[in-house]
Amino acid sequence: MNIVRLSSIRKYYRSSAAQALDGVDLELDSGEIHAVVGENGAGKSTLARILCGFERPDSGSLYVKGERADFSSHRDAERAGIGFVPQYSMLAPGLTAAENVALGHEPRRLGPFTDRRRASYEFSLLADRYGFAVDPDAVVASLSAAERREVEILRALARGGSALVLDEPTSILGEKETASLFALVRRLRDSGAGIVYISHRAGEIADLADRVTVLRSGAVERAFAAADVDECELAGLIVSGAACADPDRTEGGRTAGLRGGAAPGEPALVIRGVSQRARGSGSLLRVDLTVRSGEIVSVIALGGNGLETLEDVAAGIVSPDEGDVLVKGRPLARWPGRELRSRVMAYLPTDRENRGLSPKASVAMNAVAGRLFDYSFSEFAAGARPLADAAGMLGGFGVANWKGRRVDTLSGGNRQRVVASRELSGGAEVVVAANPAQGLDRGARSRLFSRLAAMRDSGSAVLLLSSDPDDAAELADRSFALYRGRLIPVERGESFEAAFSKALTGARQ
Amino acid sequence: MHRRVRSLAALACAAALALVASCSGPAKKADPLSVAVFVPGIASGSPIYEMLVAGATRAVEETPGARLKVIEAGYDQSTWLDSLRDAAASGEFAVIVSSNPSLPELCARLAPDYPGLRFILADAYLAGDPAIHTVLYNQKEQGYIVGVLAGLVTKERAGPDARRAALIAAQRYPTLDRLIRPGFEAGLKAVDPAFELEFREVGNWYDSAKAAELAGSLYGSGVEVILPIAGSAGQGVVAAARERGKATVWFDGGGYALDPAAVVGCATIAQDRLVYERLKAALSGDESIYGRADIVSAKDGYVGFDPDADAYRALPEALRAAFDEAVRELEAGSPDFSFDSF
Amino acid sequence: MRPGFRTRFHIETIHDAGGTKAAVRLVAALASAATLAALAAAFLSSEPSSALRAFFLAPFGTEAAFLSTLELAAPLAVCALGVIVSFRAGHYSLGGEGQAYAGSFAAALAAPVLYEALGPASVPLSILIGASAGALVAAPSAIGKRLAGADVLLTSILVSQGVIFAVDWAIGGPFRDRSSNLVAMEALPRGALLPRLAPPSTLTAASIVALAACLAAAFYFDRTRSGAAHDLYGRNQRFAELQGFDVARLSWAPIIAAGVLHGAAGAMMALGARGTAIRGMSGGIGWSAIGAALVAGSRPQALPFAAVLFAWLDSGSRQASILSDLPPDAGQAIKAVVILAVSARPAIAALRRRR
Repeated sequence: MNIVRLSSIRKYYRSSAAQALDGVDLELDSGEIHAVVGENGAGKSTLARILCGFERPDSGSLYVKGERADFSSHRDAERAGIGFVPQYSMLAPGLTAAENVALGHEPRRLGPFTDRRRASYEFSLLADRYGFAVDPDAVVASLSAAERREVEILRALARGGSALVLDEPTSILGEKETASLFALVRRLRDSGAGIVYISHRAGEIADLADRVTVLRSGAVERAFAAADVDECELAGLIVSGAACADPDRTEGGRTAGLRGGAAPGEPALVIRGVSQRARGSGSLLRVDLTVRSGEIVSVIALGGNGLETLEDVAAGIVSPDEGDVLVKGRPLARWPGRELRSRVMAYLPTDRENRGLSPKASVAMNAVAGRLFDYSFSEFAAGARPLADAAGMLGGFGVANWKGRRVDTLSGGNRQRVVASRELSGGAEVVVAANPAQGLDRGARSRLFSRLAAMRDSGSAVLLLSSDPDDAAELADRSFALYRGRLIPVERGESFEAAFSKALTGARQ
Repeated sequence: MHRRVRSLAALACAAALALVASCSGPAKKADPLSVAVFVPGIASGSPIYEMLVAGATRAVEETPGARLKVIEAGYDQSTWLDSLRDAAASGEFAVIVSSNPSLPELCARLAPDYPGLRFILADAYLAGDPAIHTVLYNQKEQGYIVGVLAGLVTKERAGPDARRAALIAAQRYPTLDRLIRPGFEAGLKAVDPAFELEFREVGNWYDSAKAAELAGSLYGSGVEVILPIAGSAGQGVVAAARERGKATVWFDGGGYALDPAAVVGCATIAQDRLVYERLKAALSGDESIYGRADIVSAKDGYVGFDPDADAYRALPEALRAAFDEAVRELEAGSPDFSFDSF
Repeated sequence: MRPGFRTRFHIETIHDAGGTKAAVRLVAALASAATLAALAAAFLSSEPSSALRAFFLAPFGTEAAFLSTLELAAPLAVCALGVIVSFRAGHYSLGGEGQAYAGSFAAALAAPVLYEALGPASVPLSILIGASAGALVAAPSAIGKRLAGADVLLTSILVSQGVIFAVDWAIGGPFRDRSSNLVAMEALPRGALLPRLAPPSTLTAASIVALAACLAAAFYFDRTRSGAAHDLYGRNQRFAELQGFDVARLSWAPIIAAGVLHGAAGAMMALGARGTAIRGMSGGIGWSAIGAALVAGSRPQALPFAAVLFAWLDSGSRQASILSDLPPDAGQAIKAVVILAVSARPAIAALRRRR
């Protein structure tokens, strides 16, 4: 049975002068997983937002169960049975899981008071039905990324939905969590729900989807049944021209181990005996890590094991309770701010919106922010040279159509490219890259990794922090897993994936 | 440009054009019979300003073709100059009439910019400015009158050993320091040389609650009579007097209406008559007054006492007789408080 | 193809788009103010036509009136500039009133002495002294923020209130001109004041200084490196720190700069038409300045217009209450509604979208 049908949807954003969607059709039946794939900026997120009522199309029509529908807000979509699970968490961190799920539809007791116990109970019922194990009374801020994802999904389902839209759900999940997500999605499909699954990861789509729609530049390029193509072709459709590779490994993995430069040199970034207490389960326990110039060291961890804390410590955002961090032999705290940040250290943060960008400033400004004071007074006042520099940096990382635009009008992937272009264009000696491929499609990811490898070859020390073991497999010279705040080295000899899974879940070697 | 911005901008341009088109160029010459009464405060509740308005109104009514506008400038002294300047710059008035000791210095600053404008200022003193005519009341005499009454009433009510009275002022200023207060004190001492005068400041011309508080504590400590020089804040002193069964003396006029029992005497100035006379003269073309600073006194009939009140009449015969005697002597020139300049 | 005039001389900035928004805001403010004034005149006055004429025409009707209205706007513009400098660094300092008042007092105190020593050349020095007084009043907030991360909003308003009381006492007490009937300091000698450029209007060099300051600030924010760092710091301190900006200095310098500007504006008021420091003369300029900064959308280029708009509202309502019987507070009420309307526009737009 047909649940949702979109017909000839058009959407034009005046603020960025972009035709986000240009006559897109989409159908979703009950009991199917319909994947919507495409590169950054293809229009996937816009389509999802229109489908869920967050935006209205300029033209075209939307049908729910055969009847014409017009959503003026996402509440209309909710009422029509369409639930939305966003890419970036929209939960209230200070409330519990049950409160978040009930938000807006809280069960009432004696008039205006919220019946907390009832909300908790209803949450448990829902969770059991779908096989979740999240504690309803846990405060969201203390949950791991995967648990938060579960809560988001429950929220979307709680309204009794027949359709679910998942926007890049695995972008912040590790391997095991991804597997359980897939299991859940299949269970939902089997129970009759229709699922729109937005992603750019070919491997996932091949595993999961029943039908696939490929978007390119706002239009449907192809729509087909997943059984009709294999993963390789699928990858090729998503990023036109991407080469096929071994389906067990991720694409573009040729950079791993390829060394154009000399053997690793002096220690450039030393994390020595660092312990740090953090909220929830994010503490670090006597971490010792040395990254030498000319090498890439990766640390992989699932959420809740201390990766964010390690990132904060390595990038100098917090001073560790015990131990210290040395950059080129000097304690981090003793480095003069401008020299450290503009010249010596590059930092690609996980929290892109708050640490990596100034969202309301222009793209060009974000690009040159790290080197503002390298310009002379008159150069900056005239503006030509900074603009030219910005053009060079942004072009080098594939950001197009950025002139005169604010950075918050760009898609997530493009924003990540802006951050990367700023941090990595300057030839920094130490690079702290945390989840650097977040939001990037296949092609952009491989370009970024090539760049990191090239920097390694010319002598930079790169610390790669990620929740995706594929990153380490492709790029790292040495790898570690971080489990409950402790570093566990992973040898290259044994089956890489097996070793990683063990380390990520704490199993003894 | 966005359509809405365009239409708004068009509206703004049209408005601007209309403004410019109506620009009348240099200020037109004001009708010589157009008068502004500038009240540095609020007229209602303040006898001296009410008399100012009344006198000016009468003069204008009796002059055919003359017009009057009352401008109340409020209690914020820092804005008086701006309001005066606006009145002057409007070009609507030929004569500005006002009453307040601070006016001359403000008007003197404005006068050079508006050469056609003339100022008549009562209760003020400034000599020599060709655009300004001031008339100062001999407020030393005025103070003396209520001082004598206050002294007599204190002795009457609190016994022959009582020798304390008080003056509550809004703020200190030269007229108060050099005329009113010494006069009041002299009046008290004329009754008994050992009289002591308590002095308190309210801080402004309108806070009657604060004035009531100050009066309350003075009355409580044994003072029988208080003289308030605090504009509308004085009403607070009267209220305190009524509450405690004490007495107040009053300045300028209209005090009895406030409380027939508590206000025992009022030293008056014939402000309405004075303003009426001077303005009438000016409106009939008499330019000789400008540049002159006159001082008027009890002898001239502009400073006196208003006996028409229940509380005064209720005072003992002997007291009133002694008081009348003192006033007559003053009018005759003893003591002599006259002065030529200020 | 030969580059035309525009491409050859147009200097591109690396700044965000959004310039037209300021124009829209200004025009909306002007339109709403004009409409409200007209309504007030029509309904609150018994002589609507003369109230209207007084409100709209009197402040601009003659050359002298027009220039005087501009002069009224000058100290307001300088104060609003201080607000912008501080707010754009993320420091919400509300202490402008005290800073301006202190500046007036300090200038009125120093001017006679300086005039005796230096003659008319004392004027810029007196303004400098006023500016320093403003900086001094701002200093506790700046120090608190720099050393302890203290909330500028709280510290600034506490210090400012204390300073207002102190200056009130000083002007009414030990420094009062006893020979004057006003509660004010001694009237300053003519030569110690800002020279008047076009009597009988009150126009002085203050207007020119204010305009120049606004243009300089616009250049600072749009085209200098420090200005860009300042702005980015105000939007997101963490981001600024990660780009290597001198966040230590940015945590206190804009606050002091705002104090300097407010103090200078206060000095301009004392050395202008008033001719001395009168008790209570700062009269709410701190709040008006915040309003003007809001209407200008925190853009210095738009400040002169916003300041003139507010000056017109002040002057127009005063004239209307003098020349007709419009209540004198009508101007203040209109100002408040205009500020509300201008800052509510994003909220209204959002409401409309939701619906």
